[in-house]
Amino acid sequence: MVRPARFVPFVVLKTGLCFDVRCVRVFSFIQTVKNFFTRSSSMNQFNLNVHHSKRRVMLPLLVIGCFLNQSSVGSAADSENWLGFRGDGTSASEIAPRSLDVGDQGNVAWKVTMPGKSVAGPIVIGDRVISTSSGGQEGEQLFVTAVSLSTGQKLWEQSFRSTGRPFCHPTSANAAPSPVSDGERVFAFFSSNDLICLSLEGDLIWYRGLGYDYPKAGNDIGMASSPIVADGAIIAQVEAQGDSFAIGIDAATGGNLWRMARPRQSNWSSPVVIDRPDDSVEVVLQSGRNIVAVDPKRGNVKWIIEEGADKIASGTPAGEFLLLPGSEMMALNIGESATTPEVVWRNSRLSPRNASPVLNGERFYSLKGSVLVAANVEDGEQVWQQRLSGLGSTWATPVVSQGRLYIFDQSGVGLIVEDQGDSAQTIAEVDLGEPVLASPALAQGKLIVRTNQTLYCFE
Amino acid sequence: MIRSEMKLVHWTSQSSRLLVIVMLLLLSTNSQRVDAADSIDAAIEAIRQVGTEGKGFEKALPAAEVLQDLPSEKLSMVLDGADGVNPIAENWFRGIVFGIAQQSGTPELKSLQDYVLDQQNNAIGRGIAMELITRENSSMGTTMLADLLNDPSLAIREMAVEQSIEKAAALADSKQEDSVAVYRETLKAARHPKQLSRIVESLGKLGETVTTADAFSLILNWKSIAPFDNEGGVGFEATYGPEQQFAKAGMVDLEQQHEGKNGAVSWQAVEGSDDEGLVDLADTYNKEKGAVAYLFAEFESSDDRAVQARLGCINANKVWVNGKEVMATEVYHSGSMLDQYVAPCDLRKGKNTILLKICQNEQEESWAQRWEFQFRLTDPTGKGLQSGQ
Repeated sequence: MVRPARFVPFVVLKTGLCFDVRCVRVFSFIQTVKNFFTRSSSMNQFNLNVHHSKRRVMLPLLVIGCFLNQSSVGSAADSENWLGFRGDGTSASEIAPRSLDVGDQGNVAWKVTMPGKSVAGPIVIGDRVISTSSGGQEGEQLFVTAVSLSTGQKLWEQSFRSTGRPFCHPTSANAAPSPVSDGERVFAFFSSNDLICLSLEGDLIWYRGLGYDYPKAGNDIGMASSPIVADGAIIAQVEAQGDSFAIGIDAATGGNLWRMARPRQSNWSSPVVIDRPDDSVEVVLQSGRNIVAVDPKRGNVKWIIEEGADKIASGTPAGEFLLLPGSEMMALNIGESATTPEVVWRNSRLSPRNASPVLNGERFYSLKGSVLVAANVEDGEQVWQQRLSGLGSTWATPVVSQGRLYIFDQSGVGLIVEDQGDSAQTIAEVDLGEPVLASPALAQGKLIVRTNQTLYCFE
Repeated sequence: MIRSEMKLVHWTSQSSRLLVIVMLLLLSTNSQRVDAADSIDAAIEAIRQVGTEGKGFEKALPAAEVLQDLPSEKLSMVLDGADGVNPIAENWFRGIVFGIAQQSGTPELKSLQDYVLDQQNNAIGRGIAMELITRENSSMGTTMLADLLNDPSLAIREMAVEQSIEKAAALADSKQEDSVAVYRETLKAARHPKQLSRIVESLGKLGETVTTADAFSLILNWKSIAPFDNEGGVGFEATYGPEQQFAKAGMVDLEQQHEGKNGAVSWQAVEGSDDEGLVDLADTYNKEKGAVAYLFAEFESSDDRAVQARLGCINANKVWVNGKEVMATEVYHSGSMLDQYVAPCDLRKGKNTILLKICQNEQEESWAQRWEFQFRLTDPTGKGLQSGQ
């Protein structure tokens, strides 16, 4: 796969230096050590003679083991993890299965029934697949489940009750925003604006109820904006007719770093992390009224474009460009620091319907219902357009690897569509028999698909 | 990046011996500590103090770590700690309890069972314990829930009601009378609107006459006056004549005309539908757009009591009880369901007065034409109240 000139990293460390996801393990390792000491120190205030739990005994050994096994640190490829909605924001990964076959001789590595309903994409951190679900009468029960990527075994599951408004359209779920991770913690967000921080072992670190803190937040069709992590902050867009805001929350402590008012208008699009040539990091918040970039740690506005963008499909970083869907698809030039990006091109024929643009090197794809369009990132020229036979209404953002797109519709029909240069060809088809509204994950060569009630792993 | 990793390797080699020593010292220090129960209490208290916008998190973060290291035999202490906490702290306790269960292995279910069955224990803790039991041993949970249909814990009651609905449904084909009897018994116990609706629907399919309006005790008879101006959304904050009267005296003059959007307007009787208790203002006022309607009702209470006002409404709305505003929501056409908005309020013995303000905007889409509501008063558990009873 040919990438654009500058690959946009996803994980941004507190130092302000940018690393790609290979560094997650290093970072995680350092944090594990740091947390151990912090934790021991902080526990002193409770003067507790704690029993010798499995974890207490194992952790020092684990830490020592990490030192002894340091040669493996940082060896993971960037296709190992899928840390949030659309992975690194592009929906692309290096390796993926070449077929979708649920038959006895097929390529389903495992499938697991989940504790509730979900339209949230799964994420992958090492061997852990994290998926959120909601259940109960109104979706007020919140679940965060970890499943082993290699075996499909359930590793742990946490359960909470929503403190905000759990209501949503029957086709959606309270578990709508995709969870996100910084490689050492899981941040699970829900339509009810409950935000849960867990360790990779499933321990509670902290819990926020943004719908409880700000009771008018939310809409009863359901929220769906997925949070992102940047510079030690979780950034969430909670935009509705009532309390409407974007918020930056300290990933370590759960406290507010900043909160800014947003247009009082329903908005389901997700924030996007972009980095600029001077290594500064910005988070782009789009809405039907404007496009705003903020500093992730402080929330101060870096630039504003007074033009509405899509309220469902989110922006996609593409090297020196940011592709922003709206009534017209437009490309912003983010290749110069400390400036308001200029619009490089616009093309109304490339606007997606619900799914976000998908990046494949110098080309991107836009899904308009069952019509797939390919275009050049550089100039916005359409390359081909193809109606995908057998594909119905689509919500899930496709994922892509080596020119093959993995596209699922609302009824559970999935296709692998191969970009053959000047046309596209469907090379595999599957019917999972359950709605798929969640964007899949690609990691370690595997495709993880979350249907309404089931988690599938194709290898 | 490679250079960074090399530095890390060098650093880790030098530091590993020191780390081991420090960790052993820490473990040693821990082993010398005494008075564990007081310390657990301190950690629990830190969780109890968690509030909005991260309040109390500084102490709660280490406390959560400490508590999740406890053995499962100590679960009851943590469950006790959840007594009367706010919903945020409740979720901290939930996460900690499930964290303990994950770290320490399967908890001793008999002690959890005893905890649930002792109704002197707090409702939140009992609910969490019941969920843990059903997760660890579903058959044990099923047996217990069969006797907990009227449990004072709403969470446990909801689980028992769900199980009872499933039992009634399983009987529907083979033993219809038994099925109806189970549904009827469950209907009395149910508090959640979704469960109530499903029971009503199922009884209807079995030939029984039960309406949503009856099952929920929806208020059907109202006096209404409209339209007042809401073009450009001005009506939500505007205080028109009926609102001014009610805010001042807790009453309206039903004989008085007011100046409306299109001229003088008068109070008139409107009724909710027999089945759903839905009051259709679009029908009553000829699909007027950009308009405000006021609705008034009286409610007799046998005593002074704390209740809940529960409104389902797809339009912007305000609710006053006895002259006091109890809820206000400026959201249009963004979903609607029974009990969509819930707010606590007080009734006094004798006559009480209720005023609703239901605002329609000017959206033209086909899905934005509804101008309607459902309203009821319930006790704090969600049991519907009838005027005069």
